[in-house]
Amino acid sequence: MAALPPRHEGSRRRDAARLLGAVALPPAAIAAALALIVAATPTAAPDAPAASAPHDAPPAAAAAGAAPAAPTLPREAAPPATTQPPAASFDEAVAELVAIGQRTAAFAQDDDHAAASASDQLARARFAALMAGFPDAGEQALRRLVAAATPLAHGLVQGRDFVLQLVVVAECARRADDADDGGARAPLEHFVHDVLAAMPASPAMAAVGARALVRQPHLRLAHESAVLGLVELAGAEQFPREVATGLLLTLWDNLERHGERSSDALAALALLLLDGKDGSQRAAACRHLLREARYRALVVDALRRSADRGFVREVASLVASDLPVDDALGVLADLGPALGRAPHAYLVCGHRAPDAVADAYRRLLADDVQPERRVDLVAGVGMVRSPTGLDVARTALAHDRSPEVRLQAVFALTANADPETAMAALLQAADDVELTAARTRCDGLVFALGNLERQADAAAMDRATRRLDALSLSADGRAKLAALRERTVPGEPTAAGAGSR
Amino acid sequence: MPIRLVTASCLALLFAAAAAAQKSCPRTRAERIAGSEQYGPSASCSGLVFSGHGIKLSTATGCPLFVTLIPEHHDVVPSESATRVEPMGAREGRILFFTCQTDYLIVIPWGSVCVFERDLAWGSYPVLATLPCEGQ
Repeated sequence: MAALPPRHEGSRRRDAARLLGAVALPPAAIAAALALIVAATPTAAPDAPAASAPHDAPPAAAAAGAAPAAPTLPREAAPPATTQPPAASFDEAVAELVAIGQRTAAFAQDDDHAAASASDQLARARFAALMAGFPDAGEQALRRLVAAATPLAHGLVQGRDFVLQLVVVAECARRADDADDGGARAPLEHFVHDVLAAMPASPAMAAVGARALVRQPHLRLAHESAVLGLVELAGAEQFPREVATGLLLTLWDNLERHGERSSDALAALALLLLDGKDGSQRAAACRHLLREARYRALVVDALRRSADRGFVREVASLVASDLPVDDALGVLADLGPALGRAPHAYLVCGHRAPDAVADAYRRLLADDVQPERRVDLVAGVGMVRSPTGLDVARTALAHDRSPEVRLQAVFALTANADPETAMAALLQAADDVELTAARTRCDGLVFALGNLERQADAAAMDRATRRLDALSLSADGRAKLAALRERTVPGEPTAAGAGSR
Repeated sequence: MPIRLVTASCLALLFAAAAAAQKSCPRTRAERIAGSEQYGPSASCSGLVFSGHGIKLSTATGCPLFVTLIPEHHDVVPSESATRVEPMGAREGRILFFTCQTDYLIVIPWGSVCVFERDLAWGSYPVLATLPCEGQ
């Protein structure tokens, strides 16, 4: 692994400030932290208490006083680590950060927010010091993550692993900054190569690499063969496919952005891959081409001809999360029958821009066309907890001519409206002759009633379960209703009794 | 009534019934759609480990804001045989919401955990049977 040559202190201090920004910190917090970083960078003003600080404030608080957002701390909240010397080794520095994190957790659990905030500021300063003190911090962190037997295996981010992940991300950002400032690009390229090489070690390492590289500017032409190698591994089911697709798309985006490949050249490559056998390459090719209006019809046509509906759905999900929402809705509409029902893709769109999905629904409602798509649009915006979603659901229940859409509106209202409104909607649907003409929709009303299990009172559940019991339910639907009644209406007939009425 | 007339009438009725049955047969069948789970947008967080609804969900890092569960169900598709579909019931699609909880969300989420928030029914998916058209 490549190591950076030592650099002068001014550069280190500037790096420290940049790195904190690179770890996706809120701008206001970054502003507050900059003063701390300068004070806490070891060579500038080692960790001795600040002489100019008020006697009843800790050094960190004194430094933070320069920034308006910084809290004023009581004396007892002073983080003790400020008086300790800088860590001698990388492992000690990581261990110190973990210890500070644990102290921060303890402060937070005690609702001592000022102390927790100060402790967290100290952690940020120590992190910056670690990066400044170890020019090969990224390589060291990567080695330790790979060597760990089961990093992140328990789902909970352990302090040490989290610190090491942060170091990997920050190392990429540091070297990218150096390259952007006119420095050599080789250190960044070498480190990115190291990250790519480490990614197949485990799903957890793949996730670490994805966090550092996907949707980031670091992947460039020099990494093309390594990325394609991972795509190949994904094709052999030895690497997470969504990560491989994300890396390939990021690489293409960066190549185009930096002029290393023209838009036309990348489009030509994507067109070649469009009919390939590798799922990651095909998905990436589709998403890449769908960004450009001139290729959209071509890709939609290819997807329509695809017999693999699961693949079409995968592309639809990529489209829903990556394209501008209006464009995504257009592509989803164009895919039509090839896509079939795709509520997930519409839900992703609804999460991103509920108003755009609501507008799309209202247009279709006004024209009274594409009822299947209207179902997905109501699901997409209605399941998002928002006034827009509720408004669309109420409109759909009152005015949509499709009983399937009205049922979907009931799902949305029982999910997000207040219990009285939701129960009224459900009973209205139960009286809807057209809606209840199909047994599957009657069962659907039972499912929707389940959303109210924890909110509605026993009397309301009693009334609703009796009303639904009179509908033409399937045997499974009736059993589910009876079980629901048993749980929510004390002392009422059990499953067998309800089913026999 | 002459026997020939009765026979002719019976035959005519038989053919008419068969023709009607032929005409009303939709020639459709139920196609099985496998159940699926899809992850929504992810928040920066620790990974998810979740068991419930007969499934296990996990991510190495990142907390999906929601996961949609579509049950195994059926679609109606054209059939080359004289068959039709009959609804047998429905299965529910569910949506599971997750949230990232941090022990001390100040600036760096040092210790974060992706936790289950709530789950909801959000769709009804048909269970269909393929039956021969009557009279075929």
